[in-house]
Amino acid sequence: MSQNMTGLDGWLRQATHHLAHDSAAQVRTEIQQHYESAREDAIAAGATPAEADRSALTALGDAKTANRQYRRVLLTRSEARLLRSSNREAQFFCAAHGRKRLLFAIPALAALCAAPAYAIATLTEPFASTVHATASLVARVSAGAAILTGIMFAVPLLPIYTPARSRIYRAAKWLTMLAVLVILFDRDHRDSSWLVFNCLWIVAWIEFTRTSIRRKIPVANWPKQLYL
Amino acid sequence: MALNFKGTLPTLILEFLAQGPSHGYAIAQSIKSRSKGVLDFKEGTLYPALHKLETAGHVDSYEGSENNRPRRYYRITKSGRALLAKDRAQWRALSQAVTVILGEAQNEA
Repeated sequence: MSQNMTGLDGWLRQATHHLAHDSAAQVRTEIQQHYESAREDAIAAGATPAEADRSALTALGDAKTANRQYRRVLLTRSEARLLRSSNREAQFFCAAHGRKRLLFAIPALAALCAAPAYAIATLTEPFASTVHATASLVARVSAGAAILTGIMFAVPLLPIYTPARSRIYRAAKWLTMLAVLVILFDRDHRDSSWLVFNCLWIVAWIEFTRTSIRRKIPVANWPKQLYL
Repeated sequence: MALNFKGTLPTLILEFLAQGPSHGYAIAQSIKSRSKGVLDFKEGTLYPALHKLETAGHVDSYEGSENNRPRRYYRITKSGRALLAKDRAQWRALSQAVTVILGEAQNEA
């Protein structure tokens, strides 16, 4: 028995590899129950305990295959970590009214910076001076920040909490990000664009992980940040 | 002869659960015994299929017990019944088409 429990333990270790703590616990419980039933049935049918253990383990199949399938339907460790950290961020910003107001103030402040910077850049354009270049850069960065933070921080005011609407919001968010990149990196500044594009993979990875999480949690249980 | 029936496992699970709530082990044994061993599958892959159906809202689950042993029972939902009806219709159409083609091939031979 102990030898075959080791066999089941080994199977479970492989099958739960990379799964989140709760997912792994769920898999352990259901497979152990299944294994015990299969073992009892085999013994009732006349098998020895050792044969029953072996046949119950064989019936479960390849642990790696099961692990691949479990990882498609249950949360993995990295997904659970991302979910926890975004829960903490959401709690931090939504816990206090002051912080919420600060979120609305950021895009407004960025837009306020962008307007005079554009004015200065337009006025100094004929002179091709350092002042024009600096004002133009400040204007572009501020406008980009205003648009980006605007679409992200306006979320509490938008009715996006259904799967269909959240899809529209996400499409708008990605289009906005592309538009901001176009604003930031005009013809004269494409040389430095590699820096931002190198950082974009983090955003893409978070989006990919969130998409995977959305498939694994019933819509009724989605935390609000999964709609973003 | 054991056949690989990858892709049809969720439909078979729904078909079994349409008769009443059950737990994973009973579902696995029922599929194997009702198909007289023709439809064979590795039982470790049954639960991922059940979880996927649950996430999609086609089945739901609750804690129960059988012979003083705790069990997770699964039951089909309204959307699960609708999916089952759709799958049944698709399967009938597919199997009729294949039967016709195979029949024609047999007649030609």
